[in-house]
Amino acid sequence: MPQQTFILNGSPVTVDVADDVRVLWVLRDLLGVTGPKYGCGINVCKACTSHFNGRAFNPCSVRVGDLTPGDEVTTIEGLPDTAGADLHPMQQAWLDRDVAQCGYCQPGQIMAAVALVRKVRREGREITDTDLDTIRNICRCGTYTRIREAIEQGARAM
Amino acid sequence: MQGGVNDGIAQALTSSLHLKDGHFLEASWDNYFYTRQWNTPPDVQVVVMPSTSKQPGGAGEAGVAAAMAATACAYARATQQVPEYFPINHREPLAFTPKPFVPPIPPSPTNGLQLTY
Repeated sequence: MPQQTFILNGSPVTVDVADDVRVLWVLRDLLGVTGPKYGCGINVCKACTSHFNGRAFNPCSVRVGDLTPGDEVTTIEGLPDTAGADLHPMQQAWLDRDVAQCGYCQPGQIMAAVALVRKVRREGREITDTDLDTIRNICRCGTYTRIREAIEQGARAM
Repeated sequence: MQGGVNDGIAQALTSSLHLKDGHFLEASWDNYFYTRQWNTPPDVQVVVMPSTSKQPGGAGEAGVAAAMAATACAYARATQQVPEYFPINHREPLAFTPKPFVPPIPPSPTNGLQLTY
């Protein structure tokens, strides 16, 4: 069985698993990191959204063999460390706005939100309603309005 | 309540299943057109009225029926066409390609690293 090495939430990890296993199952089943949620497995629901080298990606749709030892995967569990605090400002905004209902999609929503704010900052601007409209993460509880409010609040603190 | 508003909008306009030869054509939440971030109301103010009853009652899903009716009425006003079935887009051509119904289950995609942002 090939060995797969990458950086997970700041620390190198090595697992014995076939190249074509998707990263989501490596995280959840082999490494016990269950923040990225399994919703669809076909990269449409976005519940597993995490960060690959700081950018949003969906581990259900990436073969673990495509990761290199220097690649950094950040899940919701590792997000606070990227801000050097107990909670990332986006997580705090989520709590302040009482966003979550059932909660299943929320780790992915928060990871998508952080990546989207970083993306618009790279483009030299702040987040707009048009940017928020591009978020494809599904929330079957329908917490979309509070998600928008929380992202705007979280962005101000980032 | 806010979630119920999103439910009601979807039920009136877009969210349905198509049953054909014993199979639902919708394979995921991306095919079943529940409300998404791009068609949710940007601002929702919920006012819960004081109770007039001594009996306790839940509020779960309470927003759905009224929101669906309000959306349907707004559609009728805007288009001068009173809907005769729901959701209103149900008989339009499918806006997605159905997944196959015979094994094996299609594998997960592998192009995730081309879609980062």
